[in-house]
Amino acid sequence: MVDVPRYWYNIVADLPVPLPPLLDPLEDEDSRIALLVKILPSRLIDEEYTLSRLIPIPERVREAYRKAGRPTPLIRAEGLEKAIGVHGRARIYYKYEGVLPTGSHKLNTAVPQVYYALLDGAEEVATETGAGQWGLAVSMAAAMLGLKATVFMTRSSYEKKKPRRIAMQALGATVHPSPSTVTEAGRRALRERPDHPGSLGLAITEAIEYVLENPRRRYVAGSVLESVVTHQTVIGQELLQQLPEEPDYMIACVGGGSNMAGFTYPALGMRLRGEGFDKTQFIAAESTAAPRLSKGTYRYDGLDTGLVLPLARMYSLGKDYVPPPIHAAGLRYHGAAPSLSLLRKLGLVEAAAYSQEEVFEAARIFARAEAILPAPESTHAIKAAIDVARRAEPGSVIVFNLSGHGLMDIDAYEKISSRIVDGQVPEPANARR
Amino acid sequence: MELSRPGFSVYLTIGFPEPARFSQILGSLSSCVDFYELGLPTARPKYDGPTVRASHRRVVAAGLRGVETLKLLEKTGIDKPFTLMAYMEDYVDSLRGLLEAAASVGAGCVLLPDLAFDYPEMLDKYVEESERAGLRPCFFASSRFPHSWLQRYAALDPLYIYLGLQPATGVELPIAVEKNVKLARMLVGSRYLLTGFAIRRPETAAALIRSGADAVVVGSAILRLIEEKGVDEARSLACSIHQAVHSAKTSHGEG
Repeated sequence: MVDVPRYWYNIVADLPVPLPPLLDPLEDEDSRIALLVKILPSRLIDEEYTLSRLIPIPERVREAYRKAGRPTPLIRAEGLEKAIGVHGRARIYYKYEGVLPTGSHKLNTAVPQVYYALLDGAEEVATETGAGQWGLAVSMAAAMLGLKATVFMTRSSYEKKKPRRIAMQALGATVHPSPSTVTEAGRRALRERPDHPGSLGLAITEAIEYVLENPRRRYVAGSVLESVVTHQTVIGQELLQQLPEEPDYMIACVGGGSNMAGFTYPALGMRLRGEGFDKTQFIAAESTAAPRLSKGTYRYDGLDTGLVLPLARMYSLGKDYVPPPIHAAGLRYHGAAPSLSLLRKLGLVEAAAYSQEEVFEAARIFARAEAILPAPESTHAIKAAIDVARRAEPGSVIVFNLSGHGLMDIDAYEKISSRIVDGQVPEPANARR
Repeated sequence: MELSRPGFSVYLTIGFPEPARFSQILGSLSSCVDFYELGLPTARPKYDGPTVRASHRRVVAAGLRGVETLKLLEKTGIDKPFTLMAYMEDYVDSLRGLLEAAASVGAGCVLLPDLAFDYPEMLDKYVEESERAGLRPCFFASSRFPHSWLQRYAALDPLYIYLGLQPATGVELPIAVEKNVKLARMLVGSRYLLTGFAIRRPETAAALIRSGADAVVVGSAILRLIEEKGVDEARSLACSIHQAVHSAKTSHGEG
């Protein structure tokens, strides 16, 4: 019987080489690292800097996980196997995080972070969101635990992703389009570019500026931080209990990296400790709109556009990168989690980038074969899984993370589907650095 | 060189706040210090916190930098054991020269805080060159560090393993540092475990010794006091921490 895990798994303890630390810019008189104490929940900071391999999950968080629907199911995708002509030659499974009430994996870290903010005596949490999955998860976690939530949503998503915005507001959250007029960072961005579509980096800066205005506020992070990545390992730990066979390929999409990391790290950790998964290839599927792991460089860069936070060593397209608006807005972050970036640099994780057109075609195939409408972000993993299955050796086993459903992305489906029918789906353009 | 257990060390950037006073400060603190950690001034103290960064800036601005500053130590006649701290980035092409210079002035080891993070492939070379120069290696680890690397360090017979408790020197965040010390102790066995970063109170130092650390080092708090209130205040803090460390009941029954 699969149970909700009792621990989160911290892969830093098992990395082949040490993880480069967060860094203050040399020229700074003060420390941005020191500022973290005013921004993040205390217990999250402790989890960010721990030598422990396993971090106990507080019982109240485990209860919330259970109430939300964990463990999530692992499903054999026989319909998909048949649809793409690999049935009998390859076996495909997917871990379905879309059954959680917010429709994505994001609740796995929203609940503990909001709980930790509560332990600090905070009255409000603030965050950023792209597609709205993270913002919705924070809004729900805040409603569950009785805190106010404020969400800075990238302007392009604020305008296009109406269902999630309305859901956040219905749960009691205040949602601002980013760039907003609420913060100095937002006002400056609007002065420089009145039609600014927003970026996650800028939305992070806005959320942090907002938090720093009031000591009863805490920032909750959607991805990238090691502690956040660690929370997502409930996915991969359940998976280890559920997998009927060791996979040849494990695949997940990558925005900041928490979904990929949460899905693969427990297995990757076993590989690093010499306990199995020797033959498994770990593949990160990202968008050509923000191909940080495929085309970025491994270096120290800002976690946010405004450089309020310390620098992190990671694959990055540059903190000022403004990706073109795409329907998978959750994949538009300029960097990837430091541990995931290090694993990519060491060759333990591979990366593949896909265009909007080809992932929506994969989504169409999957929806008709499995009767689940996937989130635009998750379609990148589906596309990678289909590609891998078609070229894999007979008998291969493929597992991917279906990190969310797309029932709140109907507008995206409407627009992209009609364009695919017309055969005129252009690549997103106009990225800026 | 062997270090006392328990032990207390003060970190100073060589030449800080200026060469003449630096020598006086060493002499003044000496009776409350078991050993010193001395930093070679660098223009890029990249993994240090704001106070230590500022100390490097000040010394470098005065025209002192790197191995050249060891001449100051020769003049000073330091009466306590000491180790050096330098950034590997500055010595990638002159590692042997650095280690030979360190040995010539009587240092116990040269700690390179960026070695593991930025030059992990050079770990063995560093050990080899240290031994060639007649030094023992010493290693830096952070509060998020691979267990296999701590065990690897322990197997290399270091003078000490320095566990940086906080994300940067002088920066205190709400981290369960004692828990990390206990875990590090389990991983490094009986090797000398030196702990540092943002220690500024005697009770914190004593708690770390009780958790399994062999020694603590204080840097930013001492540098700040020297700068803001003078060497007597710095000495007073050093003495109180020295006493707390030596009064603490360790997990090995010492102290």
